Amino acid sequence: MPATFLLAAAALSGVATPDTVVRLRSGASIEIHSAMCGIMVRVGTEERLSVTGGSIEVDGGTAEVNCAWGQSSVMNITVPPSSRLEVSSVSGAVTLNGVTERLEVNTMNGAIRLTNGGGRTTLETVAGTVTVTNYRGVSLAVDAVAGVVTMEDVEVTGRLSAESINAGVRLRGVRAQSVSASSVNASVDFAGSLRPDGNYAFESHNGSITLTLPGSTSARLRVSSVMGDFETEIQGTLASGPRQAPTATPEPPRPGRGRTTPPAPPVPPRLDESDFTIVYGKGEARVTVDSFNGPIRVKVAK
Amino acid sequence: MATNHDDPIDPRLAEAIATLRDTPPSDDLWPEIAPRLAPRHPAGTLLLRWPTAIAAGLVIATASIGGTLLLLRGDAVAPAPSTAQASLATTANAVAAAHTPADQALQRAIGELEGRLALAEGSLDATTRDGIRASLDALDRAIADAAARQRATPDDARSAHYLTSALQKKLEVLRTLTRRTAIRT
Repeated sequence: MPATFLLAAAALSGVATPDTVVRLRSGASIEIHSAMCGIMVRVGTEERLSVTGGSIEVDGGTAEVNCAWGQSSVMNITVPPSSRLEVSSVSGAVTLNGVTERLEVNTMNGAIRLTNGGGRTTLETVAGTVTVTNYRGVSLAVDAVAGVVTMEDVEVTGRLSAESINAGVRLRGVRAQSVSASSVNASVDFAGSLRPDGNYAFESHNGSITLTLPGSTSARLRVSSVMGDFETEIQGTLASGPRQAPTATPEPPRPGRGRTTPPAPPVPPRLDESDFTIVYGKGEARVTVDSFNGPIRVKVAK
Repeated sequence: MATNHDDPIDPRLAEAIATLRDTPPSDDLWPEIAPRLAPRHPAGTLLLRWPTAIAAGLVIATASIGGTLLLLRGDAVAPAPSTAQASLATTANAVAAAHTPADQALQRAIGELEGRLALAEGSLDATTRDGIRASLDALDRAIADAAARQRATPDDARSAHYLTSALQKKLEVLRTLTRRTAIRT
């Protein structure tokens, strides 16, 4: 493929120095492909693409980075911050650090780890795990088939979605306008805050769903469960469904000063089937929680 | 033979039709013919007397309950050599009970993609193949749960929704897997 956009290339010797350096125009697309090589991507500060352990081909506004077939080492890549990045790997792990304009990663069974990311991001894997830490961006979508999805300290101004079919989804310290988290065969755990104008959906067929929310949460929670039960540590009012909201077992009243906590409503041992709406606070955020077999828990953030 | 009813009729033919008159037979023959006719049934009709019909009903009911119990017990489905084939059989059984045209259409699409996935399975490594197998099994259990639920509560819209959304989920996953494995191969 002819290199029409190649402005500079230098082959340098030494372990720590890149094999190839290419200057790219702002907003260039970069495609990174690997079969077995691990891929480590760092977002630099200049409009420059550098690669160690792989080759670069540039055609128009697109640069292609390849690891040699059969090679199983690690490619170290530094990309410009304005780039649009597409990474695909079969069994090699993909590790990224930094913010690019747009990021798409696909693996078959390689793990994906994104740290300090941002912008618009899509991460997909069949059998690998996905871990996202310290993300600040517009949107984030994670799809896994058999691997665990973990997110920690994530803030998204738009939509965040996280799905795994056969493994769990764990979201910690999440703040987003819209969240969709689901698993078919494992648990969904969400710990974060709900925006008053936000929409949130949590679903698991066979696993538990646990929401850990601030005690001051203002939300309207629509709960639907076939075989699972429901418990909440946050006091709410029932807007529809059974007459009495099922709540967690109240703590025993604290002694002293002649004042005791009023008794909470009794806890039903199990709700075999339930479809009801609970309002917390002013009921601003819209939340749906769907479970078939698993229990649903709403806990107060400590 | 194809005919076009929009074509205007031939004027000569119309004239001939206008001359036709209905001519009844001179004698009514039916009273003589009727006593000679034995009752007839379409070919293949099985005539059952009361005791036989009751026994057949009991057999059908027993078979139906047994089949349902077999489906509801996920571990009762014998494993087949291919992920896609096993998955296809389980899903087909579950959805056959639903009889919803939309769900049947989803099932057909699922079957097609499972066939494609089965062809590509050999090129995948063991970790990926096992991950896919476990995930499709989980989806099949979800479909079986939802189908059983719908049979138990056929008038509950939520049950129908569970089944449809479980099938849609499996279709989405298969689309992703077939796309990904096609790229891989």
